[in-house]
Amino acid sequence: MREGRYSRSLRVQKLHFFVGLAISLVFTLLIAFNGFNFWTWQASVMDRLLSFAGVPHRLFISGGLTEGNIFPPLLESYVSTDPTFEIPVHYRPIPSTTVIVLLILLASSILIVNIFRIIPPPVTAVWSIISILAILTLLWQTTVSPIPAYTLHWVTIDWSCSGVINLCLITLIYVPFLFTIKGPLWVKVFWLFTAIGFSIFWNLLRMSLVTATLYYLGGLVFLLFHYVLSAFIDFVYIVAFYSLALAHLSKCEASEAMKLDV
Amino acid sequence: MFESEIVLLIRLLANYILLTISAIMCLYIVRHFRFFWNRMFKEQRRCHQDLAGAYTPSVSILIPMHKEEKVAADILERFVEMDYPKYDGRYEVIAIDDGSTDATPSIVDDYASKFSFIKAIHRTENGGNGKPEALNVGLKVASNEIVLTFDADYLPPRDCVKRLVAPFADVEVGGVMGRVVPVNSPESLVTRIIDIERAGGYQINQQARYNLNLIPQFGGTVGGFRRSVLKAVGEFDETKLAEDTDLTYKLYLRGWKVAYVNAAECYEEAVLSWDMRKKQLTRWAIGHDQCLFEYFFETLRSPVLTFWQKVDGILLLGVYITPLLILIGWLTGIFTYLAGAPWWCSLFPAILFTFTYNSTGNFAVFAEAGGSLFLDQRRRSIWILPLMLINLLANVWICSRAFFQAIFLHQQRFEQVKPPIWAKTQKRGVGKDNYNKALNNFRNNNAHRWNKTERSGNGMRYYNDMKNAEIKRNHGKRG
Repeated sequence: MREGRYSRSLRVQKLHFFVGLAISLVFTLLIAFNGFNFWTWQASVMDRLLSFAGVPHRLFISGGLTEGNIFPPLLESYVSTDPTFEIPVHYRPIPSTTVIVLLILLASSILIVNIFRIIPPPVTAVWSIISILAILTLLWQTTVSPIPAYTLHWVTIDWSCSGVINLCLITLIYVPFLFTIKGPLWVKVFWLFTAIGFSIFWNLLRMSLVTATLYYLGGLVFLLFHYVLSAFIDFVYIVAFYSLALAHLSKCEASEAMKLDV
Repeated sequence: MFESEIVLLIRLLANYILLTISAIMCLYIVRHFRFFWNRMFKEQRRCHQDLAGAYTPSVSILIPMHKEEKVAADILERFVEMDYPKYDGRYEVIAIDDGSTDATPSIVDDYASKFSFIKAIHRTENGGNGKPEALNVGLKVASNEIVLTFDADYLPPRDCVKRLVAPFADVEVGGVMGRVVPVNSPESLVTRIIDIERAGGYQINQQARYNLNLIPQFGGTVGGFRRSVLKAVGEFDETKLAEDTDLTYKLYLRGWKVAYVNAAECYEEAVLSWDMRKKQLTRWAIGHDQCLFEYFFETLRSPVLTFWQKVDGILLLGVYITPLLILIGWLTGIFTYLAGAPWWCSLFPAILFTFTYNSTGNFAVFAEAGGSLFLDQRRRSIWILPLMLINLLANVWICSRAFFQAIFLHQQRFEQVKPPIWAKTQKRGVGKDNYNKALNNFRNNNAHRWNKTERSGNGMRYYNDMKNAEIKRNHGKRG
């Protein structure tokens, strides 16, 4: 309805684009040259979070064991140069976990299928598959699993799971799709760093959660959370921050137009 | 030993499938980035809009209606008020009542009796067999140079027709398409998502394709053709569920152009529920896939299309199979991960998701959608951009199913109407009978596919609200 919206186009903000590009390059190089330190820092924070969550684990940094030997080793310890968590994975689940998880799944399924009818069928289908897999894993672990109480699994914090790819993706998406658009530079830089900050925070939380999932729910559910859901959920916040940034720029443009009108 | 070799082979195959899908998705991401860049930052083609109102060829407007009692009067009223010369039969509105059993026939008759330029056609026999049939019936009655088509739930503004016909001043233009804007976006989550999808699809995608001289698509409504061209390419194909895409390719393969007029906005009532959305999208996807099977090689071999038009044409034909590719990519990705993939496969989850979220045709291109909403200055709609993820999931589900339905349909049709392979021989004059038989089989087998889209009839209310808000805003500015 607004006059000219069908033919209006914007001028590329070249300066902003190059500023964004420079920020991205500096950021990427920082990660590239300090990757190991970054992963070590992530692992040490995760170490505390896992201890807080009551997950028995051992953390190896540069192949050596850090303090906090919570459980006796069954096998030879895995040695990796990258920070690695050694987690005992129960064949027989902790009974309280089984009950709690089943109750949560049941409640969520009822909510998703019956109450939130606006949710489209594919989401309910995906949710059903996840629920069924989780229930089967739990039941299998409770009834069929062999004698050993636990086996050891290793979670290595390296470039493929520490969220570094997401950090690069954020800069890659935001520079051409945000920095080129009309609007104040500080808004763009603010939202870029907000998204990066949230990404770092979220990756710490996510890795701690999936590692805890490995201990509480077993390998299959861990893989599902780690591989399928992580990448999917990551995009929710990447796009959410992008849309907030774009809305902010739109607001700035509207304010500017209003000032000109006055 | 043998088993391990088989496992290795399967793993290798899965890796290459993943690599291929990522490469295809990469093509789409480049295409959409190009569109985004062109529409946002380059000079826009305005498609002879300076001639709007000055160039007024005779025009026939076809409105197929099947049980449209809630919206029939609204759209006819819009065409009565249309700002276009109505003398000497230069303007005719043909309302095609396609076997309606509700009050549609009486509404249409009422308008036809009041206004000489409105003609009513009633299809009591064979009615309700789909839009293309109804349009062909209307086309037989149409007598003017330009034929425009509108769905019954659309609400064209007063300048819509004159803007749509302006591109026909160019003799190379055989078809035209306007912009569709949902008018009932606040009604539900589905309408909001459709609104965003439409914004990205038209404001950026279609306009950029037109700017870049690629293949803007006729979308079946808010558009039209030269009547002579339409007759020459064989009218609306009644065996296609996406007769609009079919016509677009027929035109381009014969050297005609389709113009996209971003200024010719027309307001539609978007579907309200996921169930209706599923039916609508299934129909589009099957129809589009039918065109993919038919025009893929023809597009590649075409001597009249440029290299980039061929590339765009192929990618456009593949838009509705990208969700299936994504599904295969996800499943293969999970398999390779569990089967112990090499290091470079670890990159695929991230790459695939990036590509997926950026490149699924007209569906979930968040940057395109965001950019279009920015151009439209619709700040609040930008906030709900992440909800496109729900749309993506829905599309993956619906379009994947539709692809297999389309294959089945194509095979069925192929068996029924395939001409004999031998060289020319004596005719028995049963070709038309065979065609009709095949057509009847198609109708019988696929009657359920012509899903009637239910309308709430609230479109006019939203349209009036929007107009009032616009008047108030303009009044405020003047004050």
